[in-house]
Amino acid sequence: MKNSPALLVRLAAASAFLVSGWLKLMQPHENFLAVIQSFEIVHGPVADLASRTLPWAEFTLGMMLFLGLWSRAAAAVLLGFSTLFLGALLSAVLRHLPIDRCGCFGEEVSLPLKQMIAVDCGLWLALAYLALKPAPFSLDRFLEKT
Amino acid sequence: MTLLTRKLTAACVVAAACVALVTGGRALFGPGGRLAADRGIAARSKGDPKARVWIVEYLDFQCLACSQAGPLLREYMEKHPSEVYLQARFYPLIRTDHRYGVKSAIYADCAAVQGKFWPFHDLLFEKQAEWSASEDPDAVFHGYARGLGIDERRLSACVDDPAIKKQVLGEKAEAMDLGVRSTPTFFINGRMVVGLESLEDELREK
Repeated sequence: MKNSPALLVRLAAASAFLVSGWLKLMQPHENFLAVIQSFEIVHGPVADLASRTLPWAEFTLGMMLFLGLWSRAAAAVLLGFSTLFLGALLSAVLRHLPIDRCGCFGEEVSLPLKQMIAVDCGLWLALAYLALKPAPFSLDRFLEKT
Repeated sequence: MTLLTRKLTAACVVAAACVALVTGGRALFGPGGRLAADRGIAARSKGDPKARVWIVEYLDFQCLACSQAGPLLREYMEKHPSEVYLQARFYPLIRTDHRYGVKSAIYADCAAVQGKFWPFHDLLFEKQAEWSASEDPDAVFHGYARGLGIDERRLSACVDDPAIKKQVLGEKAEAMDLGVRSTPTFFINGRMVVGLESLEDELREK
């Protein structure tokens, strides 16, 4: 029972990335490309590559974290993503970019930038915790025992 | 089998499962439509239908980026007058900050019935801030129509016709089936292009 909060944190953080990746992957990548371009940080082929690969990375790493496979490594990489997303959001707010909605979870679930920063801060803390602590009830544990 | 091998094998299985899930999900929930030529909305089109570059724009009159796309497309069409065919289609965003998206599309479609779509389109974008802030947009739209010589009695009858709203929302539903989720979204010779930056890149290549 003492491991339940850690499990809940892991499942919640993993679900956020699973949903985020899934929603983007169900749409043409051009929609996410426009979101990336709106932050005015990367352009051209780099933005195009990010729009094609980032949703796959979010979904696959989210799945690994959900199942608890390479869970600390998955959490560490997602923590890196989360840091990048937070940086992009903060920079957009500071530069007063005309972005009314984030589009970080695809266009279906779109939050205003400041709300998204709050969500990302929570996610960042959860991932930092998960990157440091071994995951309970995980595939990692199961594979170690067999 | 060592622990590392077992974990690597499991990771490969998970990655393969993800690919299968997404492929299946796309088949079930992904965009399924194909952009079709719609000669029925010729009043919202300009240029030669046989032109080399065929552009369909999905727009919302309250969208700031859409108002910036207009001059870009106009400039491109002026530079390549015989090479471009442009058709405007409606994708009104239904959000609190786009409260007149549907209404403005209905008025524009009714202006199209009287052959005044493009002047009305240009005026709506030019005065976007004015009517977006208005509490009585109908009066403002009628004022614009009057200025453009649109018959107001016919306009009112058209705006009240539920078939026009159905047409506007139907166009949006078709666009969603194509994967359109935001404005402005363009289809240039069938290729999806979202936002101003991609539009500029695409026009530069044409």
